Amino acid sequence: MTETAPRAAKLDLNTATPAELAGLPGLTPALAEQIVAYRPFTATKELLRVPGLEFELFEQLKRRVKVGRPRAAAPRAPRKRQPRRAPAEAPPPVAVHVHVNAAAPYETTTFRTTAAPPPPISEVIEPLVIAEPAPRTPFGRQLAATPTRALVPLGAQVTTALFESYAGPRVVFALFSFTLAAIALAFATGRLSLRWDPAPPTSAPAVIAAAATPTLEPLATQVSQAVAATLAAQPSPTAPPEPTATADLPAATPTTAFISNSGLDGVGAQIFNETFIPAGYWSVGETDFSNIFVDTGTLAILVKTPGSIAWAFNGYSAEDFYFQGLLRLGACQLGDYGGLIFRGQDDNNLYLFGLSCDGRYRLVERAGGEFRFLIDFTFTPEASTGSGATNLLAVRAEGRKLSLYINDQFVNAVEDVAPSRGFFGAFAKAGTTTNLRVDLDDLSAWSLGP
Amino acid sequence: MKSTGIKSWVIGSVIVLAVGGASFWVVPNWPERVGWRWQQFWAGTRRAVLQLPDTLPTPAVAAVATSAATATPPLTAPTATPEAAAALPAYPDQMELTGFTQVWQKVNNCGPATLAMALSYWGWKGTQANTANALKPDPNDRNVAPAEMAAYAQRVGLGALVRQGGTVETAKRLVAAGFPVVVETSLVLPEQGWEGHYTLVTGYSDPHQQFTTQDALRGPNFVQTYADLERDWRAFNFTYIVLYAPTREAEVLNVLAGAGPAGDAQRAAERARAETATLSGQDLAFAWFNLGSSLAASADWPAAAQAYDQARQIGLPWRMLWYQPTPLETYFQAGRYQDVLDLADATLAQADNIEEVLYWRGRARLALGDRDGASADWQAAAALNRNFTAPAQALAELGATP
Repeated sequence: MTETAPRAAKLDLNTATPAELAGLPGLTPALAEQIVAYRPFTATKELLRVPGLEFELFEQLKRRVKVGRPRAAAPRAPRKRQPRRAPAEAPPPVAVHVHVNAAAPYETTTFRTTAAPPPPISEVIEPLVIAEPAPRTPFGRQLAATPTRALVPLGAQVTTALFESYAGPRVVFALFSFTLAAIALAFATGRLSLRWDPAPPTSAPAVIAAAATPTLEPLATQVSQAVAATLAAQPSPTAPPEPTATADLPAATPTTAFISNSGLDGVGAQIFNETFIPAGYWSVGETDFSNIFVDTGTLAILVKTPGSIAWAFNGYSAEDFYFQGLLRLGACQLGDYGGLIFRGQDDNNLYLFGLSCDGRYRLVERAGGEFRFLIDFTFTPEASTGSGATNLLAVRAEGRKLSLYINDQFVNAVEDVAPSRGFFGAFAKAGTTTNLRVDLDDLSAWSLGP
Repeated sequence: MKSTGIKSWVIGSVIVLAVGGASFWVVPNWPERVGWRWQQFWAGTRRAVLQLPDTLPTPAVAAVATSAATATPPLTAPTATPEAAAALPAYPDQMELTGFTQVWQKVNNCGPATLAMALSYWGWKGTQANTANALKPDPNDRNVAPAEMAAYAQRVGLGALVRQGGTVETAKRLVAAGFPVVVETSLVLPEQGWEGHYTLVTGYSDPHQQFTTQDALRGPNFVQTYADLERDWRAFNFTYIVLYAPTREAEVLNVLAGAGPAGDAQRAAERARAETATLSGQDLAFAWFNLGSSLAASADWPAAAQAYDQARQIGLPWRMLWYQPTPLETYFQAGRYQDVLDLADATLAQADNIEEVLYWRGRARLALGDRDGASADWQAAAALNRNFTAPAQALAELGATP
């Protein structure tokens, strides 16, 4: 992607006066003074080191400023970009399993995509079916299926998910470990020796063949079968007694109209409920700037570098919905925040509703790769604050109206430009903290409307 | 020979490491699968190393002697005015209610998860995220009181009542009338021992002598015999919660034969008193404990303390005060501050985030002149649960700020 930055009227960061700098959009006189105090600059990205100048503001400024001192730099090698697969090439279950991280705090247009981007929404939405959850035991003692999109048979989904989630070093490590185990077993049973024996035991070939000949099925299929066997072996829940209520018995289901005065009123069918025991589709993976993984029943987003933002999508999308999730910020400071992503059409078009460490919420739209603050940081007394605080964030998207809730209390609403269908997700942004960890749990969405 | 032995050990170790390592890396979500077991292992190891007892400390000898000598006369049931028993309608011999959303609890979340299931029957949409976030500001909080759950239900628009002294008959009648019943029970897990637990009674069958429950831990339509549920229910003085549409309150009260809380407490006390003469072992300890709780409810502190003494003498599970801290209040009101400290210290040694226990230890400490200790306890209690306002009030009276 080529950026077309305006070439005229750029201010030199090393020579512009504070008044000139303060005339730039988003810059306050105080911040302009901070910039002047931080001179000299050798690159515009050094603006990010100026206290109080956040990444989003830098994005607005970078095309309006320059560094006057000529730099005798060696020709830069073109930046490596991870090629994106066309949707047609993406395996269906993986295609809705997206994880995107900002590559660097000062390069928002570059993303590292550890899995394929979302396919065109029409491909995903049409066959949406909520499968019946399989029985399971608590605390994830056994693997069971969560409500899963039945795009492909469950076994194939599990296979693909395992390959996708644990691809690369994990599978290689597993293959290595199994091979090592097989060799060690052969040693232990005396079927293999470091000394060459011209006359091996007659029984050796059969055993060596058994140890050395790999199964024809790929590893992932084997694992899938093992998982499927585990699923099949799980005890089915105790069969309920046969219903015996008859017409002359008292009513067996309530008929009350429920009014709770919360954003949940009037919601329809549940789209998903993700408790991460076990986790559904969330692409997990690590880059130089972040690590997203499932840990003890939560989705953990670790942002390693201050100024970076990382997010992940799951495989569900909707246009009108109520979406909520528990947010827990780890050791955090001013400027750190995290929260929900919704109506995510791709990496460059999505919404972020977040809550900061000090109890301020923010609604951001990312359209065409540019961030736009629909509601900038606003304090709310409804929020729990500080490191380790847990808050329930929710957004009700109904047509153009976006209503925000914190801990089941309405806090604000805005009118969006136009409603759009998109994926659900979660994000974290480190303002000042290195290795900020944000955990999200019990993410759920319900459809609105008929 | 020696080298062969070493070789075998090396090869064996390699196999174990390789297979174990491969399992870790291949099996999905292994941290969560292993993590909770690790926590259990660590907790068990800690208990073993510190030699923490399986039961709460027994009362001082003098106190028991006094209690035993005078056990029978003071332990009379509260004398609330008996309420007129209405003629109860007949009900079918079996019934199953439907329309619940199964919610699988997270650790220490049986209360919020069970409440979410009960609310789902009445059309509420939400998950344990909503209930737990409201009821447990500290996610590691181990207990949610029935009154807190009822208050949440009322806050979202339902009617709710909490009663003690429930019976199999009570649960059946409520279910037959279309009201599922949240019961506060206990269970014994192989790796964790005795624990408190909430479950939701949604059906019954007289021919099979069993209840159907929706259980956040054991799954939907989990069947328990009448006898088993009653046994597990005893540890909590047969406490239950009924949620209902506000327009149907009269129906609920009719099912309960018009008995108010006082009548229930009286019946609970009478039943506990009777059970102290018929039960044995752990059940007997619970019967004495229940009698103490009923007496405490009527502010008969000395008699309640004696009943608790009897329960402690037999042996109470070490988690007992996590869920029911009433003995601490009882001993405090009876002026037995050292008993408060003994019980609180024993409980907090195993879990230091029980806000009610911290609060009462603070009260006892202040009574014994330890102002700083009291302040520290109340600060800790106030930080754990913003819904529990007593510590903040105590701090204010002390002239300190939370």
